[in-house]
Amino acid sequence: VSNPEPTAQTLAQELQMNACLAELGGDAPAPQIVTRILAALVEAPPQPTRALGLTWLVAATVLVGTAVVTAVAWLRSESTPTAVAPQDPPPPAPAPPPQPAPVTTLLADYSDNRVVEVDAAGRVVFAIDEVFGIWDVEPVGDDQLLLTEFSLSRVSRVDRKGKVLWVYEDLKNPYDADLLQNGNVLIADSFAERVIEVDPRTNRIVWSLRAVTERGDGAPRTTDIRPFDVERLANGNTLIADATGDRVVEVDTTGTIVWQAKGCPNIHDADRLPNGNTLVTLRNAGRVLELDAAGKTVWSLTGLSSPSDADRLPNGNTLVAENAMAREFDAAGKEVWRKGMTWCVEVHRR
Amino acid sequence: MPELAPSPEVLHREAVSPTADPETLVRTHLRVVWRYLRMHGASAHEADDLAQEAFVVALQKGAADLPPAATTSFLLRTARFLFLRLRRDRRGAETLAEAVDALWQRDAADDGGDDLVAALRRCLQALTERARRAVERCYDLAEDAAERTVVASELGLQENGLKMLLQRARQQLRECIERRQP
Repeated sequence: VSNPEPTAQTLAQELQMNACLAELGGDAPAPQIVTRILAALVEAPPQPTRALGLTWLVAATVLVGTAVVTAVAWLRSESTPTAVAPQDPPPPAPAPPPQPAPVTTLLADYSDNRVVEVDAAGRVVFAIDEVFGIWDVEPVGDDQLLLTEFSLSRVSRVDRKGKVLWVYEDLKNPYDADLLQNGNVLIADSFAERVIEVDPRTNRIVWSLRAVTERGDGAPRTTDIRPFDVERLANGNTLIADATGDRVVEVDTTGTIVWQAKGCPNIHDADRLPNGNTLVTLRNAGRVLELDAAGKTVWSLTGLSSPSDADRLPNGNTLVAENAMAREFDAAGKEVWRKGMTWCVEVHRR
Repeated sequence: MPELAPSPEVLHREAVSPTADPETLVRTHLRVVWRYLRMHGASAHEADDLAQEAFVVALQKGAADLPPAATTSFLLRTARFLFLRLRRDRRGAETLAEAVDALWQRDAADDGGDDLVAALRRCLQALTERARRAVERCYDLAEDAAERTVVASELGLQENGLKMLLQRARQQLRECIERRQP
């Protein structure tokens, strides 16, 4: 009988045991390591730029190429007799037909401290490194990103070269941030147990919510929240994935619940869909559910690996950030696209 | 995949600490970061180098201003990133790292592994005298540590017999330290 290949779990147990036994035998960091670290800190070189900038390289190449083609065309026009006087500039080249933007996908990797953008074939076309504990990334226009760094308790707006354009740090381990149409930033300040709306021009909080109020037949009941995801709805209300209450709630500006769906343990994401339903992501249960207004599940994906984010795409498919990958599923639940990652926590199709 | 960070409850309990000076921060977290790297399979020398790099990155990034639990999380993530970068060519490295992290989260996340090591020390005492001595001598826990051929000879065993004895002992130790889990 041949020995089976040891599983990763078995190997991990062996490594853990070896490390502990070695420690009992006196295994310890080198005595001089503190001095080494402090010395290295003094001599540390400037931090490298955060952006890989491949997209910019491609864009620059295209621009240079276009310039060369235009110059050649102009030179040719100069050598050809025309009715245009020699001192006149060459006629403008006809505008090229509009090209559809290439489909790309933004992914946040919490483990690798990295944001990548990949094309349909999964090739990395852009990356930003050293985004520590990145949990959310949202595109802002074509050339900026809104980053939520859980480990650094920071939300920042950066350009694609990694230059920080705005930062807000009075936070405690946030999971999600959205740029609103009014220019403010809505943040799920998860471990401060609040949702805040920040005006980036002044960095002042213009709206915040620490608890939600349920009004029924009896006395109003107010409960604390721990928001893992938040979004501002078109009607001005706010949708919150509340991990404390294992629920998704829609609240008005006073914090009064106008809709909720309970029984969503370890909810990490909630999106209101164009059809009025709500897409929720249950991390521990490995499920993504579409709930109707009555809270009834009308569609689901199951058997996922620790999903933390799911988006419904315009084509009706659903994009999910899972443990070691991002996957796209069609309406029948069939996987139609996948990108392997180390620990993908957020995905966004552009 | 399990999260490396302490449980939300632990994180929530933590008060925001005043800015720690670099030396205090290093001395506070070094043992845990180093232990974490060793549990990932880094050699002692690799763990020294990677821990150094992780601390330099963390201090450059203002980790001293984070709450203690967030500092730990930041350091472990950085260490993990650096270790996987070192092992990037090794097949299955990421899968193994995930399994190690799962164990870390279960056994060590709340106290950095102190209780786990202490439990192993206690569990060693629960082994038979023969098994305990074999473990102590073969894993350099005792002053009379020796090569396995020597230990096998002195215990009157073939090398395969010693191997079996150690395997059984490790299994008993594994079961013993896991029993301490709730």
